Amino acid sequence: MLIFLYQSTSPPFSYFIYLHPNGSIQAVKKLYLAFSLSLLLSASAFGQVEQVVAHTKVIFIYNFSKYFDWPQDYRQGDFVIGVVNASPTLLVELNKLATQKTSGNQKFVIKNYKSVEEIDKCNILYIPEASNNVLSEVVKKLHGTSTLLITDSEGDAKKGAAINFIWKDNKQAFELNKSNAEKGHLNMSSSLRALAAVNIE
Amino acid sequence: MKHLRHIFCGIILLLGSLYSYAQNSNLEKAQDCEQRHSVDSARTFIDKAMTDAAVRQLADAWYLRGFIYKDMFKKYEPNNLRSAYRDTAVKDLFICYRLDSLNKENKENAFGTLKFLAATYYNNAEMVMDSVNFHWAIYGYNKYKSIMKRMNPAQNFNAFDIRFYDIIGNIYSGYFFSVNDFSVKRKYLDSARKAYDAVLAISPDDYSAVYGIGRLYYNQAVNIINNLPFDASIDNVNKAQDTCIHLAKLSLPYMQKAHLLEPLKIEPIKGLQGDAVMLHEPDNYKLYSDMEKKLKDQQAPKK
Repeated sequence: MLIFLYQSTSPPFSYFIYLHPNGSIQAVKKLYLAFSLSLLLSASAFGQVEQVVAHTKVIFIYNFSKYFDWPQDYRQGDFVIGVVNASPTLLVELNKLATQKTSGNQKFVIKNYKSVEEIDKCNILYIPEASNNVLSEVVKKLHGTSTLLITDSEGDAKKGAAINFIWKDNKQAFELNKSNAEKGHLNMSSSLRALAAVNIE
Repeated sequence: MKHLRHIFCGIILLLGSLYSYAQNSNLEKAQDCEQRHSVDSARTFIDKAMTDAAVRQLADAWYLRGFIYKDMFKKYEPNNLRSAYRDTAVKDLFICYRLDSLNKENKENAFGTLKFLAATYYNNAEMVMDSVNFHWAIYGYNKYKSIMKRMNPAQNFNAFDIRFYDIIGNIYSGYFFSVNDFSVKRKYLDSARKAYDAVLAISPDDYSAVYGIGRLYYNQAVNIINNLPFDASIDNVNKAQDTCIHLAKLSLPYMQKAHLLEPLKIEPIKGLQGDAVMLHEPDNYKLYSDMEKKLKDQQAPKK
């Protein structure tokens, strides 16, 4: 969880020393008007828990959408990104993406599935680490579809996921399972392989 | 011929006396104008009077000129950090003191006004600290210190320095948070860092400065990721992550030290959690998360 850290306001730093022309020292809060504003700004930033991690993942997901070609019936209507039990922060980031970007002529639509039963036709389905327990069920459900399955837990690329988020050298990276990725008539750009930290044939 | 010589000498003496009278008269007029609050006229007369070498030997004359220039500063340039009126006043008052340093009353008068002027430098410095003129704030503060030190060379400013630079560091940190432009952010980060370093040079264990630096680097890392556009390439995301790791490594020792200095404060523990995530150290993240929870439980008001 990443957070912005806000300013400590404990004395003696919450006031400014003012020297009265008679030489005496007084504490005034004048200057801290501007400073308080910045505190408010940073305090609001403090609420953006998990934003950094979520933002990074959404950038990756958006990138993935550009490296694949979906069959014709997935290129009509909206481009659906589904998530199984998305965190509020991840949803905020995905919805930001949906308002700012498109996939060609398709509008991004974000769907947050609360259960496997709810999952319907989507271009991309992301299973966050916390929902990893439903993976095998989801893999069965997606059999024969052209949904790109992205997961976030060690070993998932060998359990049916096309792309699995991993950490490499302290960085967010991903492993790519080519055979899983090309199931369901998905065409993958070969250049994605060069960007993967691990390639699984 | 002899008579002519006497007449000539008489004329010279007369002219000298008249000139001297005129200068003394200018001095008196300056004083009179000053008492009537006609500071502009007072300035004209005192400047004329000070052209006389004899007058320039009078401590009182320098005091009067310093006082008049102080009032010129108050009237015309009270918010000008670089006011020539004030600089002149300070210079004159020190000359006054030098010419008659044994005179207790003279010293008290000169130092009283100098303290006032020193305070105005400090307060002007305060005013420019809420603009982008970091260097002018330091200029004003250093002017304040140099005047005070000349009056009392033994005065120790460490406590003042710590407070001053802590505040500057905090203010620039505040600006760092509030702007979006990266190059501006970088500038504020550097300014804040310099201010905190000035504190740490005097007091290496100053919590506010130690935590302030740790927080700056950590938040810079957070900003770098959060400001990446959605269409950033994976290569660029990787580069941004490299920068974040570098920044988290810079932040970490300061957060650790801040935590050691103030183990009961939540903020450094949160910083350590954040650094742990940035460096992908799940064990440390858990350690500091548990620590935060425990501390919050301890600090929660008992029902």
